[in-house]
Amino acid sequence: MIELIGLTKQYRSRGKMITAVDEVNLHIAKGDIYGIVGYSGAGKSSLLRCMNLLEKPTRGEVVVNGVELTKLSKEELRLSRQKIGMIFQHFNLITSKTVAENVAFNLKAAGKKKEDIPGRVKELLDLVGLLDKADYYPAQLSGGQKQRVGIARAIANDPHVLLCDEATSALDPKTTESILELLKEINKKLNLTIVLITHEMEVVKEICNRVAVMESGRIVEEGGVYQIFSDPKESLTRDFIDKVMQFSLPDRLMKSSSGTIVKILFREAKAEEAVVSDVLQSCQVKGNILHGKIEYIQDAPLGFFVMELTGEREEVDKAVALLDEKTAGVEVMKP
Amino acid sequence: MSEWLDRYQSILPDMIKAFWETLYMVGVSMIIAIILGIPLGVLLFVTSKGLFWQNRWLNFILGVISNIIRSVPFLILLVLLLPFTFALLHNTIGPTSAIVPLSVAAIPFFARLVETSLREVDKGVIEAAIAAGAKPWLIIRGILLPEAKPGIISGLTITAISLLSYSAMAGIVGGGGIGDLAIRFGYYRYDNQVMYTTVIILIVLVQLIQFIGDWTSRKVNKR
Repeated sequence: MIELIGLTKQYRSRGKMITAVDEVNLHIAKGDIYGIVGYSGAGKSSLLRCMNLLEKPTRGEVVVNGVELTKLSKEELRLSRQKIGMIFQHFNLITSKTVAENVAFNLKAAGKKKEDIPGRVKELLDLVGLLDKADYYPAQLSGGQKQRVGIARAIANDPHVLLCDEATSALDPKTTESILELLKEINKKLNLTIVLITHEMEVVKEICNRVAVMESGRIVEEGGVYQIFSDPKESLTRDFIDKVMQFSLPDRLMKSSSGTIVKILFREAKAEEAVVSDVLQSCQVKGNILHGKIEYIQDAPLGFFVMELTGEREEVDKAVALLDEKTAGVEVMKP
Repeated sequence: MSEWLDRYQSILPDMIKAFWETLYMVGVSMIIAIILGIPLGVLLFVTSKGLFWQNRWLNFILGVISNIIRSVPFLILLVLLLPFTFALLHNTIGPTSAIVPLSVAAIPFFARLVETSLREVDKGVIEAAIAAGAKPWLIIRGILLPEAKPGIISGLTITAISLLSYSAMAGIVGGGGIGDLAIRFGYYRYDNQVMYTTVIILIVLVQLIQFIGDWTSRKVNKR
């Protein structure tokens, strides 16, 4: 659905040449919810804005739904943009227009017939759950409601793609969740390809099926979300994941425990098996759970347990070896 | 006391006539300023850097012309424009002739105020409209003007009040109106009664314009 080839975006700022996007190649398939993560200044916003040419790339190709955007005339680009929806961090709603008029604006922009507009507006507001707020002005809405209006107008002209520019970064966690839920629903219902940029791995975990990690204008790692979460290659990726999977054990526990402390990793189906109790029983080792966390990423579990194992030295070693074999891995934190 | 009232009685027809002349001059100039000043202000804005009709030369030329007109003191403009007024109306005396210099002064003045209020429009909103594939004309009509409406109305208020004070100067070249009356009676003939009365009328008018302007601006502001 979206193909970026050798995409580079440079601009001049205070006399210095800055490369915001550096030779990025990216393929986003139809129906994907594709996340691009990175810290601020990594170039993810520039990359996203190149996808509808709000920023003109310095070099490279942007192909959306089979059309090379950089080769289009002004008028052709304008028509192509009607099929690329976009939502923004600060919503960017027209403050002087009501909710219904905001949505109607995008329909007008696409040259919809006047008599068809009110019906379509109603349909869209119903889809985002704001039918009762049609005559409100943006200032009268909460952040989450504003973003719903943003979504309604972005999908008004049945786009192929929805670009989300930090769409949940200005929202509280609960509202974020409801907006992500809505995006997921739209993705399923309309088979709409969604590209979102964010600095929160939590958002990626919640809805994306693929993710790219960006640093200094480059994509350093890219892949399926579960694969990236369970087996990150780059330290930056690990940094991001740690924010979701982080844990800390009190020092007191580490010092006072007499046994061996191990961290057992679980991946996919293995996490659901009762491997631990089986192993402990067979080895005559006592296990004491100190910490544990299981995340479900696209309905597949990913997690770890931190356990204190006590028993005969040999038995403990045997148990660790067995666990290592039967789970996704064991890390001995304190022998 | 009765002398004082008698004086009013004799001057009243002149006052009423002058009052209507002022309203006529300011009113028509305002309409012309709106019709030409808004497009000029929009053009100044959308041809500036980073906007969708970015055009350095057009922006520069329009900017210079409106700056030149605004830098000429109104009294001088009044005189400078006499040939132009004559060419246009074959007359240089009376309120209708005063409308020409008043409009010429008001158009760039108001246009700059329109441009300033357009600059206040959130760039993100314009960007969202561009991303939606809206035509420039729709962006101007559907976003820029409605979003800047409170500011444009405030600009209209300022322009109206400036025109009112300019219209008084038009009296010097025989333009008529309240200002003319104040100068003829109050200044040339030391008639304080007429002078103070006209000043009070002007004060009330300014207050009224400001009040209506502020109220309307607040009313249309949905932010």
